[in-house]
Parts: sequence; structure tokens; C-alpha cells
Amino acid sequence: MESRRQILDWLESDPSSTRYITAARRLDEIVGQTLPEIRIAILRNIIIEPIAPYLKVHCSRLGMQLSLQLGNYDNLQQDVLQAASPLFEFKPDIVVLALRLQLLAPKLVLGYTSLTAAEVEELSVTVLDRVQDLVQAIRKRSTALILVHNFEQPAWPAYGILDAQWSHGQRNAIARLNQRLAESLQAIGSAFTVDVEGALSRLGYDRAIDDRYWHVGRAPYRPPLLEQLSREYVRFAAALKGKNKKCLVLDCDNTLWGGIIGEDGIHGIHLGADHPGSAYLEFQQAILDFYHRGILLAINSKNNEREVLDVLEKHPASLLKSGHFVAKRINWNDKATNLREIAAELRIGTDSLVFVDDNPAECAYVRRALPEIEVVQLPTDPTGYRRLLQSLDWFDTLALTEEDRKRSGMYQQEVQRQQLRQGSDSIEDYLRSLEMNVQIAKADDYSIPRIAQLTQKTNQFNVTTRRYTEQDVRLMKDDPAFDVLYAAVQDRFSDNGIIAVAIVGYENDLARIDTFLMSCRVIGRGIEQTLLATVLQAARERGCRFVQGEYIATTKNEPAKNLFAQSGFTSVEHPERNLWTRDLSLPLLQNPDWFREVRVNWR
Amino acid sequence: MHSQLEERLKKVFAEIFQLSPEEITEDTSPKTVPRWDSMNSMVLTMALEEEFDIQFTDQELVKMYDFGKICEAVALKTVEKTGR
Repeated sequence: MESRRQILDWLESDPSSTRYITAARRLDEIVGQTLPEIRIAILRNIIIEPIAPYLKVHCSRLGMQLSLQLGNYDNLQQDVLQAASPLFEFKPDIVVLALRLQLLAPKLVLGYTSLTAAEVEELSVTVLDRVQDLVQAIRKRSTALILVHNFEQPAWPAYGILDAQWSHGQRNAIARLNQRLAESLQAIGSAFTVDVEGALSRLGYDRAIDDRYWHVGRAPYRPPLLEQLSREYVRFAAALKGKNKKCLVLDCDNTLWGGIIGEDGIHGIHLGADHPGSAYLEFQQAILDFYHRGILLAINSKNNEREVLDVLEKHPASLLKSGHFVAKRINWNDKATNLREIAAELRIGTDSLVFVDDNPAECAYVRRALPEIEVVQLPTDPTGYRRLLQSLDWFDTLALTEEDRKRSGMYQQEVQRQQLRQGSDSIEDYLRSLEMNVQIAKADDYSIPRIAQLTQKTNQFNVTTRRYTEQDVRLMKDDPAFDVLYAAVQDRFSDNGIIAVAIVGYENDLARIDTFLMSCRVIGRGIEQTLLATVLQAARERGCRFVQGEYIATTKNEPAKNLFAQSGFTSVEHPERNLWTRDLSLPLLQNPDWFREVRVNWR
Repeated sequence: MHSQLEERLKKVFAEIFQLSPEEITEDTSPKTVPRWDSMNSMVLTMALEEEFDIQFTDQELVKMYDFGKICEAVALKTVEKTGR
């Protein structure tokens, strides 16, 4: 019996299109898979069927099981508008619109020189309107994430060398069209472009586009482009389903700089403006881009700690400073043990780590000891480091929130909190000295992106692990039968922002807790109690008699298991579900008394 | 004559049409293999082009309708390539 990992490794050793087909089939044959499902529907005006094995494989690689539906060839209007459309019956998580400009506005592709600037604009608007109408029609009936292919640039533009000189040149016109497409999708919400143009520029026209099959069967995309596109879809899927990675763990010697600090010394290592140090400098720059996207950085290195810290703090060329890393294991322990400790310290699963090392033996060791960790082995040539890092597709999120930008700083403040805690006489004493201010409020336009992101990312303290798009959250916020509440907290060290969410649905005298989650960073501070107290209060004021909670066990949400039992709920007999109920005629929950202030504003 | 080439071809055929290599003969065609529709015909061509690093023309694409013919076409192409 083959495992998922064996199949994927076999494919990786020779990723030919034949192997993709075989691998996809073998992945389907694995019995007893427990991967969460991702339902993707593709509407298209081209033949794109051969994408299926690539999509299946990449979903599996990121820990998801694909269900795929393809709309009828060039039948978008009907797929979207028909009352009993199979599209909506399919209940997709993601709807992809794979449209080629050749069929939407042929003149923009061929015959471009016959168009005046006004006609180009007119055609562009027609295309945008057409796409927008389709997207809005989908949005009316589904909260799915909507992904729209952007349009390919011509490799050989119509006006020859003059094309690039003019703003009305063909390439510029299509670039503008793509930009406007992205803007119009953003305005709709939970709709994004798939960067076909970006994939095309990585591959080059001849590897990506098949003119023969375009003419023979309206199938323009070659396997390498289908493979790239499937990766792009799956990046969105992973972000939606909380399958993205959270922390990049880096080795030091011959990774962050060239040479070995223990032997070459701070003046002997390669890092700086000239080759070979420039390759390491570029790598550090790319790592900093990850940092600014809210990806946590950590160090796992066999070295004397002082020597590594000296490089980070004193080497004039080092862009990475000690403060960029939220956890450091610089010691002589084995690297798997260090990785386990880093995950524990950051309170994330080991499967949320990506480990980067140049040493094949270390990589192999970690792969064996911790198969759930993605290991990136750097090539022998450091000038390839940056590109390899930038090509990693594990770290995407659907929004870049204020919380993302501040994330690493928050982990550092956590270290200060731990120090305070160690100096406190009791836990309560410590919690009091944090001087926490808690706000609980109803979702608004400003908080929706973060709330959706928390539903997508929170795995541990999450009773039902329901993943929602921004559009889902917006619909519930606007639905009078729902309350979407969030909690935000500041303490003496930092503003943690929005860190907990409760979504409650009301039905007659019953309030049902659809979602209750909290970021793992703030577990153990009593915030869940305050949020739950508000949920009970809100339900009582609405005239409910009971609040029902449900716990859906996953491999990760043990920390939330006792939430209801600890909060005065009683277990409900049910053959399949783990249900809890609380009688609202009983005294409600009290806020813990260690908060400095609790402001509740949900009415 | 092309036995080694034939083996490689059979492997690709077998994967795409979910057959065992022994089942494949010169006469294997869309008539004998239910999975051999126009879509899989395209998938097959692309896999062959990748496997043997060759390119068919549009006319060749629409004429590849049994294993024997495809075998000949691939043999010709690979000879052209190595003959250069």
C-alpha cells in the first residue's frame, strides 16, 4: 500500500506529464484518506480538461482532496444563469473562470492594428462588463471564492517595435485590461485574478501555448502551463482551507551566509555586495519579503549561539537581524528536536513549519523524523537560493491584514510576557499585570477580512473548524438571524488586534454556536470566557432559552475540546455529534476579573 | 526493429489508457480502447512529445489513429532527430 508521500516523492523525482496522470490515479486509490475536501468548479471557453491530474496532485500535496467539476465547453451563460445549474448544486468552494481573450474579444488579439484607441477602450469595457456580469451572477448564488484567469499578453505584439512605445500599444492595452479586471474583482469581494500572464512569463510562450491544439481542438494550454495554473488555483485553495504554512525555519552556515562561522569567523564568511556573498544577500532580501508578509522566521542551526548572534547583530551586510526571528535554536541538538521545540514555542503544529537547509544529511534526517514538515534542500549553487525560495507556494493568504504585518513583533512581545509570567507569584497575578483591555464588537467592513482569515487559519482553539470566505462572513453579518462577533485585545506589551471570533445563528428560542475560535497566541488568558459570556448575554436578550454548542474533533483542535464543559454547558445525547446545550435561565458567565477593562459593543 | 522504442511507447500508452503493456498491439486503436477519445488522444500526443522530445505537425496530429501508425511516426521523428 502506497502512501501519499511515496506517490508524491515518486512524481517529484521525474515530474513528466505521464507520471502526473499515474500519480493522480494512484492518489485516488489510497483508501481511508482523511484529507479535507476542496470542491473546485471550472467554467471555461476553452478545452482545459487535461488540467485534472495536475490539480489532483497539487491539492494532495497541500493536504486536500479534490472534487472537480468542469462546466460545459463555452457555455458560461447557461452554467451561471440557469435556475437548476449543476454549478450551484455542486456547492463549490472555488469557481474558476478560464476565459481566453481570443474568444471574448478576438480583435484585441488579432487584427489589433485595425482598431482606433477608442475602439480598443470600447472592446476592453465590453470584456470587463462581460466578466463582471458572470462573476456577479455567481456571487448572487454562491459564496465560493471566484478566480478569474487574467489575459495573456501577445509574445509578438501587433505594432512590432513600436508597440512598446505607445500607451495604446497592444501589450500596454492588455496590461491595463488585466489591472482593471483585478480592481473590479476586488470590489466584488472574495474574487481574485489567476495570474496566467505571470505563469506565461515564467515558462515562455513556446512551452506554454500550443497553437496546433488551439486550432485542432480549442485547447491552447500545454502541460507545463496547466501544471502552473493548477498550482495557482491550489495556492488559493490552501489559503482558504488553512493549509498554508506559517513559519520558515532556516539553517545558518551556507544558508544565510557562505562559509562556516565557527571556522571562518565573522570576517571570513561570504555576505555582501560581491560574488559569492551577493547571492546570500539576495537570499536574505527574499527572506525579508516573507517576513513582511507576516510569515514567521526561525533559526535552527548547529553552532555556538553567540557566534551566530554576532553575525546577525554586527555583520554590516546582514539584513536579517536577531529581532526578525521569533524563535531560535542555535545549539548542538539534533534538528528534529529543535523543530519540535520551535513549533511548541510558537504554539503551531510542526506541519506548519518549512525547514530550509543546505546540508543533504540534515534534510534527510528531518524528513525521516518529521515527515509532516516540508523540507527544502538548497542547491549547491547559492545563486539559485533566492529563486527557489520565491517559488515556494506554501505561504499564501487571501488578505494581508494589519495583524499579518505586525505578527513577528507580537511573538517577540510574547517572550516578554513569558518573562513577566516567570516573575509572577501566580497565574492570576500575571494575567492581572498584563493590563489587558478587551473589546467585543459586531463584525463590520473593517474587521471582515481578519475574521474570514481567522476562520481559514485557526486550527487549534476552534470548535467546528468551519472555513469561510469574506463573502460568507459578510452574508452572515448582514443576516438578521446571525451574529458575527469578534474580540480584540491590547495589553501592556502590544495591540494583538482581533484574535477571537464567535458566529451564532438564531432559530426561534435556540441560539446555535456555528463558530467559536481563538488565535493560539492568546490561549490561557480567559478571553474565550469573556466572548462566550457575551454570546450568552446576546442570546438571552434576543429572547432565546437555550444556547447550543458543537465540538467537531479534528487532529488539531484538542485545545478547544473542553470549552463547553467548562462553561456550564451540558452534553446532549446524540448518536453522531458532540453537542452541548446551556439553559439561559441559569446565571450567565462572568468575565474574569483580571482584565483591566472589557468593552462590549454588539448591539 | 524498434523494440526499445516500442517498449517506451507502450508504457506511455498503458499509463494514459489504463492498460497493461501486454494488451497493446499494432491494432490497438480508439475502436478497441474505450478511453481513447479525442481528449485522451491529445493527452497522449503531449505525453509522447515530452517523452521523446519531438513535435508533430497539425496534420500528423489528426492522423494518429492506431498504435502501429503512432509507432511509425515516432520512430521516423526520432530518427530524423538523431540523424542530424
